[in-house]
Amino acid sequence: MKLNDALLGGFFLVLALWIGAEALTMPRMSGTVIGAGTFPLIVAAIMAVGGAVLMVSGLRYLADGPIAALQPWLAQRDALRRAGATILFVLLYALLGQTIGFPLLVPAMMVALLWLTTGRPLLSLILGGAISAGVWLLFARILMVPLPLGLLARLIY
Amino acid sequence: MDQLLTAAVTVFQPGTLAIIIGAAIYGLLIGAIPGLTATMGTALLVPITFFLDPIPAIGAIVTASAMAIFAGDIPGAMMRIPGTPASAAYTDEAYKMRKQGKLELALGVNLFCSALGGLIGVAVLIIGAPQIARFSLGFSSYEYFWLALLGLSCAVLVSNASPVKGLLALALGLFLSTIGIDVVMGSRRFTFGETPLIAGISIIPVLIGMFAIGEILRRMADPVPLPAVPPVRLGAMIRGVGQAMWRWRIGIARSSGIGAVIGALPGAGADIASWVTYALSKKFSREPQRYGTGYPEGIVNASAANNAALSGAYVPALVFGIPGDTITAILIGVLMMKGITPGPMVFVTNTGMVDAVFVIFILANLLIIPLGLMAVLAARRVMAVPQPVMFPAILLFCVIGAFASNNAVFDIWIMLGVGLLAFLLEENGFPLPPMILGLILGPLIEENMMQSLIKSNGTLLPFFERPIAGTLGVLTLIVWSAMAWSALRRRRTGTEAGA
Repeated sequence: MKLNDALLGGFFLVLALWIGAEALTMPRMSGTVIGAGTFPLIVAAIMAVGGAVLMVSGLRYLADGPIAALQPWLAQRDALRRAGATILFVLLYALLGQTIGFPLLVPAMMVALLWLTTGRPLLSLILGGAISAGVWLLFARILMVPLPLGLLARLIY
Repeated sequence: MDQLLTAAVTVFQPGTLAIIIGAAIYGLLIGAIPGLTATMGTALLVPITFFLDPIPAIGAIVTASAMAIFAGDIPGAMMRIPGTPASAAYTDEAYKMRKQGKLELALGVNLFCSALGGLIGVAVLIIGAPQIARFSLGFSSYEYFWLALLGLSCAVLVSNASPVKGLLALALGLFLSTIGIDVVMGSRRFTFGETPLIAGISIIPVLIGMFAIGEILRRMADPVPLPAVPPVRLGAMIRGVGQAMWRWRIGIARSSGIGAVIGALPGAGADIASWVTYALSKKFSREPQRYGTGYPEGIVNASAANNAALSGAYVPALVFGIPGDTITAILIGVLMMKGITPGPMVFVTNTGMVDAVFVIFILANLLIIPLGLMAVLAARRVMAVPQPVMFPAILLFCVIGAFASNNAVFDIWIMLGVGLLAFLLEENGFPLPPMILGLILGPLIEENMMQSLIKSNGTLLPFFERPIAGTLGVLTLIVWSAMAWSALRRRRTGTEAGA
């Protein structure tokens, strides 16, 4: 998504103000102005100056085009669906991974995502299973990462 | 020499060697597949290196990145799609050679010049780094503060984007580095009551988010169909290369040297080295009119330079802990996770590790030749992997890789958040390298700044009183003036904004 610089500059300005306000409340060393907020305050000042400059320069071009526009490749319905599915994949794993577990959740999600990208259900089923198994093998078996078993834990233990 | 031999024994341990060869093959795959950059490949490697000892971890990153930079030339020559941005400068030239039936010569020149350029870069690293380290042993917090600040400022200046946007990306990275417990007072900052944030933002999910998630989103939404790849004959790849390299030997030496120096500048990595040396080789060429027509001279120079830059980037990274490019920034992050803080003291207290890095670099650049030949021959199969299959698999790897560093779901949220932010920023012309450099160098700058402020009772004059600190301070101010001038010029010419 392409945004006008005024909008982006405004975002950085607001962020800088918030960082600065937080930094001012941080503890200081007794008898000095130096403290936990010194460095964040400097960062906030840099960000505020940069944000203001960007905002002003963006305002000059406000009349020339829309304030926000989708990139041509992202404006197509299929492209948006695939991009949305990518984000949903991560969200679902973060939300349900611990509860449902890797062995049940990931193959299902992989098959669904591959089906969406390839349009071939059988191939997606085979590849989804194989890719999930490969990642499980690498992380859980070789690198000993405790990937969540979720629902299966109750059956196994 | 004896030290290097001792280090070689460490590196040539079967386990370490197997990891290096595995990383080499991985790097070749990453580089050969259009859309996967060397930085993204290195970021994806980090979750694995987290579980390795320091030397195999460094070996994996150094070898994979060196291989990826070379392998990026393969799709460039075959399909006119550079595998990594470092190959973009001479992609057209190499593709024109393919159209003239000289694909093998283009690839052969790429391969051997990459290896030679890389080795010259390693020589610069081996000779230069210990000397600079010895010189900088007397540096105090003032010098380190200015050095880190100068590094960050250069990263913004050479980021090839609007200086204002580069500065904002840097500020964002610096802000992220302040999250967690502060170095002076030990108080919590910007943690929002979240326990996982007390230790600060974990580097692995940030790296994956920043360099992989955005690219995956882009490629998933807009897969680029790849054209057919022609077959390659091994004999024809080797024939004629020696003659070409001998003919342009001075250019190779010059470009490798320049590449190593450019690589050592913070923020200016292999891609900038490649563009600069291509332009310079044309300027110094006896036949500049042949550039752009499928003439190998530019390829010879630029492909030597981009691999030399990779080695050069490790000079400031090892000596000062200041990364020359995003790949070395990642390596510094990995070393810090393992409790090793790069700096001149590493050359005194951890000489074994430094020598092992040198040996790994030599090995990686020598491995480019046999493995690179195999990669070129296997390229048709590698590039046949369909993107609609490859990117979902990489996405899963990213999710589990982000989780694996701390076994924390919170890191997946960090990865997604940073990934979406980085995607939005990149789409709007913000460079990402200053942001990652800010995140990694932030604690170094803050620590040295606070130490210096405490020593000087809060006054700024002592920051300029020591000769080297003063020189670095003035240089930093010059870079800032250049940035301000560049921003004003852009504003006047109207290239700053837009919707």
